[in-house]
Amino acid sequence: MKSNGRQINLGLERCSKCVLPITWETIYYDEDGVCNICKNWNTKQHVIDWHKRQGQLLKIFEEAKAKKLAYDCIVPFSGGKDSTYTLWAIVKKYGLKPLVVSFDHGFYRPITIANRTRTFHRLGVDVITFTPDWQIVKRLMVEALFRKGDFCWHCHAGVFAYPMQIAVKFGIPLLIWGEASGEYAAYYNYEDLEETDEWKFNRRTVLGLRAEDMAGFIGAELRDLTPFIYPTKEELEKVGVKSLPLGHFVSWDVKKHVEIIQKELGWQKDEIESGFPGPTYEKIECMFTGLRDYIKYLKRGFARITHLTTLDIRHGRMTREEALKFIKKYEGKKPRSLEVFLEYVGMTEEEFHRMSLSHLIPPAKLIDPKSMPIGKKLWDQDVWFRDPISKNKAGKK
Amino acid sequence: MNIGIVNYSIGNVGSVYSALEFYHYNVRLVDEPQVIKNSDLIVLAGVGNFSTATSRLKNLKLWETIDYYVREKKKPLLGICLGMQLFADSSSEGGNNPGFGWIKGRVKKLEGKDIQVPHMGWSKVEPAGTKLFHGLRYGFFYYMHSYHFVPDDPKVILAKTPYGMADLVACVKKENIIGVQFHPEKSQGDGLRFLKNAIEELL
Amino acid sequence: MIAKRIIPLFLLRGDRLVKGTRFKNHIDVGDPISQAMIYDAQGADEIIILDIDATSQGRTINTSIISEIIRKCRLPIAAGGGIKSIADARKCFHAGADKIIVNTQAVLNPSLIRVLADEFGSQSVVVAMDLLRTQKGKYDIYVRCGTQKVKDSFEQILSQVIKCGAGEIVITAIQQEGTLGGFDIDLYKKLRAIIPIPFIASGGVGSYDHMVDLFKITGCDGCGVGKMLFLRDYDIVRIKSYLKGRFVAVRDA
Repeated sequence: MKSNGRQINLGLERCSKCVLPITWETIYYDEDGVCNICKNWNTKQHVIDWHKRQGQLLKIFEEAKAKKLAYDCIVPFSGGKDSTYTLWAIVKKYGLKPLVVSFDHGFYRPITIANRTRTFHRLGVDVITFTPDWQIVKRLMVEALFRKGDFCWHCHAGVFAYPMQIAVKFGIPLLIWGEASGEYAAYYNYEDLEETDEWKFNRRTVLGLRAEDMAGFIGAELRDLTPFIYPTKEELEKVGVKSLPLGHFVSWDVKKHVEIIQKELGWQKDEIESGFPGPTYEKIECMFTGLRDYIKYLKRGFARITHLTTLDIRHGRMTREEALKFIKKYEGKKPRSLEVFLEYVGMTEEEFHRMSLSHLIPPAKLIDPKSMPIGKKLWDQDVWFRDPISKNKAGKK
Repeated sequence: MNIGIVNYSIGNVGSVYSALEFYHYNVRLVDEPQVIKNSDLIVLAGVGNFSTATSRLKNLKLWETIDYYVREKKKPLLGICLGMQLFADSSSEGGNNPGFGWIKGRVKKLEGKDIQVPHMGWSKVEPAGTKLFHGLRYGFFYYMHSYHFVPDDPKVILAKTPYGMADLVACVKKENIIGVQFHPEKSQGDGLRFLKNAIEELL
Repeated sequence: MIAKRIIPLFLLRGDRLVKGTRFKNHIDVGDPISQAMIYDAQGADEIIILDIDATSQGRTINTSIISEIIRKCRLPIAAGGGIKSIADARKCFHAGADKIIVNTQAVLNPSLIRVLADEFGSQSVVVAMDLLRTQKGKYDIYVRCGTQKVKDSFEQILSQVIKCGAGEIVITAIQQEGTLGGFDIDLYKKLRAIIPIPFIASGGVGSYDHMVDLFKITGCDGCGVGKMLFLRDYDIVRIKSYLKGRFVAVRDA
């Protein structure tokens, strides 16, 4: 079905070249129905002087080592492919001594836990894993789902803010993150407002909510949300904190990185609920990847398969027709992990759907969850942590 | 290096203050003539109308001191919004009132069938090959004014803002003084960048 | 070229921000300083903050909150709530507000605007009006936060405050407010024809296309955004991307 050059497929207007739908944030189409992301795809691969950037990076590392602190840098870590590669590179390639700082969102899966342990053992690193108060996290998850249709606020905020707090507390100025996200004009300096991490934290990371807001919503004191508070500019300046993505200095070749960590660290892939069947390396750390994608589907009418097939189309690995077939086959299934989530936060399925569906982004159409087929249970779901108390209270909130 | 902020109105200059502090400049409020002398750079900031501004500066005994140090001692000065308008010979706002007269020209009410008065909001600034606007991300600045400065000598105009059929004067410079009609302290990232450029240019 | 303004609307109750539907059933939506920092970082063009209890409690907006926001943010702030005199306005400017917003007193006593505009300049004086659509498709003015109906016609009051030197007008359609159901496009089209000064539409926006329609059909200079930002998954960055893609003249976020 066509409409002014645009295509309507599977209930949504989509790009005539790839399959990104109109509810993909920031998208727009031209008269031929081609989206702006397709059009920018080729121009985006502008020429970067990686050699120069490598030089800059080595200089930064030399300066860090020369300080002879207890640790040369902090590496924020989850155990996913990017942070694992980054940690490997810091230790093995660049020879720094990192303090690994890991924010435990509460939902690490068994293969990821094994990956983490094996990585720490083989590389030989000191690790701080911080686990926030579960009673607070539960309330934050429900509040975030209610206000933003995204229950992962504590993770977004904690993963970003907590390592910065450790940098301040321990006096370790250098933090090395993984992939560069979007444009990153220069490495961190307070000279430019928009390069400060706090600006990015406030702008994109925290979904428009900070600890000061959330504390009021959940009836907690601000100090109960300490892990989610971004250090002040003064605190960061005192230590001279510099926060850099490795991906700004090093060309990010995901496939190559995965090969390296598989070979050197025995890193294992895993299956996720919302991807293609079989093991993958994307977003395998978290139990609720599939649930997040499910909410996205309810809000926007598309999920991970749309994104993956779009990339395949752009790389010439798939035709648009094949992509639409895959989307029809694999998207739009209710995840089995939902039952675990409901038990964790003490919510009924009806409440969950009411909240999620209230976040519908027009022009996506309202979906009836009852009409959705149910997906396959992940191999490890039955060994995820379950508290008998929660199980008994499930659905009785 | 000391920057003195002169507040010619009853408005708060906190935004200018905090914007300059972002770059770790040593900032003080000018509440008496001595501070003018001890400042390496003066910023004329505030909101209000022309006649209130001039009488206030005179009441605070700052008018002559500022004039002397700028004119005779060539002390660097940045004027923001009404601050820039004070550079003029005179303004028709609130009666016909004389300004410092550092740059020949008059301040007149914004008029035109094709424009809204006041000019309120974010407009694009088009610099004419000056370093002052280097390194900007977007080039939009916040304006809120009903009067505008028209210098006699076009050579002092460093940047313009299209508004309706005509262009407004966005930025002027003459020797040791720079003036802007927009509010850099209210213009987010680009505003900060401009302030830094302007201060570095003046000092 | 002047950009269309996207303006988060902060309703202050005590020391928290709130949001309601048609001026009722308000719930907590956050800390004013924190939210101001968020929207500054997101590239909002301005923030409007209104103390919704000030008038009924016989006081003006808490100026220490204004000062704190000014300290932490680098964008224009328009503040209102209980302003009825030069002294009230002066307190707000002294705290750092760039513009003051007068609602109840502007409607009940338009000549106050003349006094304020002469003292502070038109550009710093904003008049806000809240209108409720009646069954006959006409509009009644309400003051004191939607609790008191005023008999005068809104056209009459508007014309008076504009003559008295108001620098900007903000109109909230009570019927739409907090419903996420869209702007009252007809009202704003009608008003645009009689308001020659900057004009901000507010009340009801719930999707990107609502904004596109507003700017393309009515020619308003900006829009106030409330529930869509606080209680839904939208942000200024994405809003502006969408508007840009639809050729609405906005400043990049």
